[in-house]
Amino acid sequence: MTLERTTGRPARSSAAFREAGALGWARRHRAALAAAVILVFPLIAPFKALAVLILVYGLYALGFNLLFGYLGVLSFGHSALFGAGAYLCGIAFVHFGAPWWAAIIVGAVSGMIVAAIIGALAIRTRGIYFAMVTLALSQCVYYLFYEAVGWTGGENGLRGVDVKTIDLFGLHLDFVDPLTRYYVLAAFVIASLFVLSRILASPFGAVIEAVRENEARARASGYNVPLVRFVAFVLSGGFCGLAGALLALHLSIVPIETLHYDTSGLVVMMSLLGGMGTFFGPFIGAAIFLMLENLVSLWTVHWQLIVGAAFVICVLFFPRGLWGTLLERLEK
Amino acid sequence: MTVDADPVILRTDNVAKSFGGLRALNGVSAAFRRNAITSIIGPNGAGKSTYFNLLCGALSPTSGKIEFDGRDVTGLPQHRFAHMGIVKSFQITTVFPQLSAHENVRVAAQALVTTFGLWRPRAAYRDLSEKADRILERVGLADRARRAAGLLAHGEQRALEIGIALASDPRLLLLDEPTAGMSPEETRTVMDLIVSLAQERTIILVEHKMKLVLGISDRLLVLHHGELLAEGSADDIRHNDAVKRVYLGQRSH
Amino acid sequence: MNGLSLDLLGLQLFTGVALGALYILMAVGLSLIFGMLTVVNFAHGAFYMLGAYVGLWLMMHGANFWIALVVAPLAVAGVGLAVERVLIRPLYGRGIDYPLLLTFGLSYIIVELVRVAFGNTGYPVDTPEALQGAVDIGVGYFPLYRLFVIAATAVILAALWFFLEKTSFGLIIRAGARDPQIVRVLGVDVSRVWLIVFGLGTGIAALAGLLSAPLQGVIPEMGGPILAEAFVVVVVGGMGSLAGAAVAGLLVGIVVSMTSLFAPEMSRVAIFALMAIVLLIRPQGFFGRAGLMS
Repeated sequence: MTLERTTGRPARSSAAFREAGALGWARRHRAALAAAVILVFPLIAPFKALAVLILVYGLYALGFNLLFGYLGVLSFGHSALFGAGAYLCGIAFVHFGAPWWAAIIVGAVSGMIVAAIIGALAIRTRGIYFAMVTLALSQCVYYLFYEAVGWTGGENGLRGVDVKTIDLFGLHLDFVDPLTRYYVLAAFVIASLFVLSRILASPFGAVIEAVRENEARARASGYNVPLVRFVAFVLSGGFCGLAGALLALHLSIVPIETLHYDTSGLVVMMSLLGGMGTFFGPFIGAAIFLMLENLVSLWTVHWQLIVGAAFVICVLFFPRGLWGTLLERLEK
Repeated sequence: MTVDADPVILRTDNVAKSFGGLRALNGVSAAFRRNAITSIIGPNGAGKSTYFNLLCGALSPTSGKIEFDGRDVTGLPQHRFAHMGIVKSFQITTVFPQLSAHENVRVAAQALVTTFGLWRPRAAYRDLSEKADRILERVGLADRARRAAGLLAHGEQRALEIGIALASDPRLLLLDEPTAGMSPEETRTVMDLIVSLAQERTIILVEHKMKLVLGISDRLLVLHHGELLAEGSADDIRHNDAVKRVYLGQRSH
Repeated sequence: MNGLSLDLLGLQLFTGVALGALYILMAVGLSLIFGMLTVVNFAHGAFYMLGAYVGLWLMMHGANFWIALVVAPLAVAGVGLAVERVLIRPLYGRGIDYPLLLTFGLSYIIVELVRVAFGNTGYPVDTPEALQGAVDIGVGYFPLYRLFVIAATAVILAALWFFLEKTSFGLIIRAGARDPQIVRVLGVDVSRVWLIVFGLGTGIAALAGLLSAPLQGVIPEMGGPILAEAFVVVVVGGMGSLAGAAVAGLLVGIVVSMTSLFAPEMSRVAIFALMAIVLLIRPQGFFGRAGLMS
């Protein structure tokens, strides 16, 4: 199923080589550069609340891309990982009175646990079934949270994830201020960027790309492909769960839509629009998607029509996404 | 490496394989000698590919037993075979197309060291990188190291294919029509390479063209209709009447 | 257990069969399209919804239910033909994920277009007069319309079976589902077969949508849940198998109706639990061939 990717293009960076030129330099410092972009972004962005959303969904897309872009496995059930992170963070905070940072950790770990459960079932199938099975299982998670009204608030969502101030190292931060909130959450996203970059540069990062490129060959070389898929899915769940937890703190409520099928579709669209399989493309895709949504919804309520059309055009003509296409031009 | 008393490295005991109702292989028993070149030949549809895929673990036999180094390996998952030192190359070229030639070999070599190393950068595993360089040198691709494998010429991809297999330090190397689609010069180069590789390891070759392998094989197995038709040295096979009939009969249409 | 509860069980069983009928129609189309084109049609739910809305539009403009039942699926099948030819065809050979992604994006567009035309709120749809009321089926009175849904599904399945097993075109489809190469060798124009299969699948989805309308009403989002449930049916039954779709569709329908009798809050979770069990025990599904999964 990966044979289609044989289109001629220069080799992806191999960590063994130090690439020459500006592009090679940029690639070696991709996490730092991405962090710089994130730090500067709210200073130029007109809407601070939108900037926070971009941060959260950007991380969600980065976590998704580990699976879709680098391993080549398409999941349509990532809302379950994102939503579990958001809900469990909220539940830890609201029902157990956990401090905000502990609630975030609970969210990230919950994403991994739900990913482990879904992953253990879904890797029993291969290829094209994966998208169907993950979608169905995420739907199951949706209904479970929907019905557990006492814990989750059911249809109305989980309310009361209110963090007003954050006291850290003697600092007294006003979490209600959008810019402060942005930078507090950005600290988590930037840390994730460095961890993600490290994972991608690790031996395991090499393995997932090898599995994407040629599963049969990877197996013949001695890799346990189902286990590799499982581990990648769980790692992806960690990043997406963390993103969900950040969303809960940002919104101070966890809407049930967080777990909805549309939230799974959203991240697929964001990743593809930006450029799957590139390090920062999905984040940029999330930014473009959310800004487009904001812009288009100013003059029509039917913004999904425009976004859907943009996505279809991307699939047909720019399968590498905007960032991916740009990088490809630069490489030539 | 210790000298093993058993001159046989791989043994199949009455292995058979059916696909649905179709019986592709009908009880083949054979023994493969250590550090020798054994070729499996036969006309199209003889069951060569099925037998090959049983030997390298890509398929599990419907019945029968496979023993490697005196150990029963029947039905083990394929990724375990590579760790025991049984590695195959593919009939259709299957490299990692978007990865560089160097990375193709490096990632294959990495399988013996680590799969789930998540923290230490792979650049820090210098020995793997150096091993990849040595192997690329050996298969004649040193100057192609940084190219995407998908962009290499067909013959180069076939050579890389062997390089990827070598990266797993195989004690038993299974090659499926390694010269398919190659020019005569490329074929000669690869055949020389195979002979040189055989000095340190066991090689099993599957080949459609008998002429190609008669000269280099220590032993040959001839399959026909899913059964073992003949077995022996090149001379034995050359003068075997049954084999002649099969190959002549095939040539006549 | 007394007689009354047995009757209740019996009635609930029939309700499950009627529900299962809709699942079967959805799963059959998905399965056919996947088997032939190796496209997982994420727009299948959108076509289901579109069928219901086209039928609704026809009935608003004076057509009766029966005319709508014939015309709406044909119209949606026409849309399906255009989609395959214009949008999906350029993606063949680019890998299995791309057509899937395209149909996913398309479902967004179709749903939003329907919202533009009909608004965000749903409509109730009247049961056709001839099918109102209930009949005694031995265990109690059962809505006539649900019986009709079961009968219509049986007719469609029988027709499909005949088409696939007894006509030369069906033979080509079955051969092609196993190996597209074979069809090419036979000298058949594969692209035409793909086109027709896609149209057929979307048409059946539209029929299912319209059949569901008098039971559940229509809203633009109606295709979402049924898509997930149809995926469950396909996974449980085994991809590419008509018999698998039929058996699994009935099973899923009955599981849903039975759990809604005993534990209503679990009824929507139950079918996913069923899928999880099947994945653990027999990952290729009841009738699936292990090889098809790779």
